[in-house]
Amino acid sequence: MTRLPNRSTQTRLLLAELLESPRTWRHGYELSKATGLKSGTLYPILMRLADQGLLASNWAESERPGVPPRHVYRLTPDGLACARSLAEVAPATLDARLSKANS
Amino acid sequence: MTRPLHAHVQRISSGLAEHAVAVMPAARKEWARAMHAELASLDAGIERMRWSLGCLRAAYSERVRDLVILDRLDVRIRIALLSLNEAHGLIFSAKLAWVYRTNPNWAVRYLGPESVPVYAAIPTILIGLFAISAALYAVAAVYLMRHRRNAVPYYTAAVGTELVSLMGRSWVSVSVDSWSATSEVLRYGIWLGYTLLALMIANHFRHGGFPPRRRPN
Repeated sequence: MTRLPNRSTQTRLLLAELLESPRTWRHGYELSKATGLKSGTLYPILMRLADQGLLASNWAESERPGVPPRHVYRLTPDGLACARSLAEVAPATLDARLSKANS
Repeated sequence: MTRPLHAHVQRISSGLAEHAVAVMPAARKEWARAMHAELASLDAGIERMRWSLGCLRAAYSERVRDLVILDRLDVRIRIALLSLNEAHGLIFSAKLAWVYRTNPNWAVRYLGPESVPVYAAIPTILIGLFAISAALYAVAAVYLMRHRRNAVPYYTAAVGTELVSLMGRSWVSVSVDSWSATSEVLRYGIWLGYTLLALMIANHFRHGGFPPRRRPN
């Protein structure tokens, strides 16, 4: 009865987005805008991916003065491998969702 | 958005995000702080409000997930006993309806005046459904006590069968003109309680292996 990890559309959407620029640290709001996922959906997924060692997180100083440091994310090598293997499954659907989120 | 309203929205959204930080389980606090930190980079009032409501949702959902009360044997035993109590109620209803056919005087001792015509008219298929539902509850209770995932399909089948039998019983009550709103509300209310319990159990086993146990901070 346990769901297979990282198979939900939202998780795959997020992994696909992170895969677009695997070396870049991305912050939560940017990921939310790019994937169309609300913060209440996005962050639990980020937490689970970090638990599984697929996502690295870090606090980065903001470029704007007076703005507190932001939490940033990027895929770990394991996350990269996982995202690549999942991207091979129904990539067309994910592309459609991503372009819808970006439009 | 006018300036006072904008300031008001900003204050409320900050308050909500701070509340999310407070609600989030200790092992996840950093994530709530991360969500809170994003607020400072959001300009538009409505966007801030949406973001902080999302923070709140994530925090409460993590809080609920962190309860893991079904990992405790004493909690599982209590829920199993409740389920066995429901099974007993259903089996007793089946027995009353069955015995009423051969020995109505015995059955009448346990029935209220409005229930007598209903039990007299209950078809055999409904008696069977009561018994099946009772058996399913009993099996589900045993699986739950042993902390087995099999409890989920059995609870699902038990509440499903019970709903069908309740609907059948309501139909019989209406057809014999002995329908009582109070007892119907009570019966469906109890059923709803068990359905919520079944959903909680399903949620527990669904997340049992995923995410993995929290890493200590």
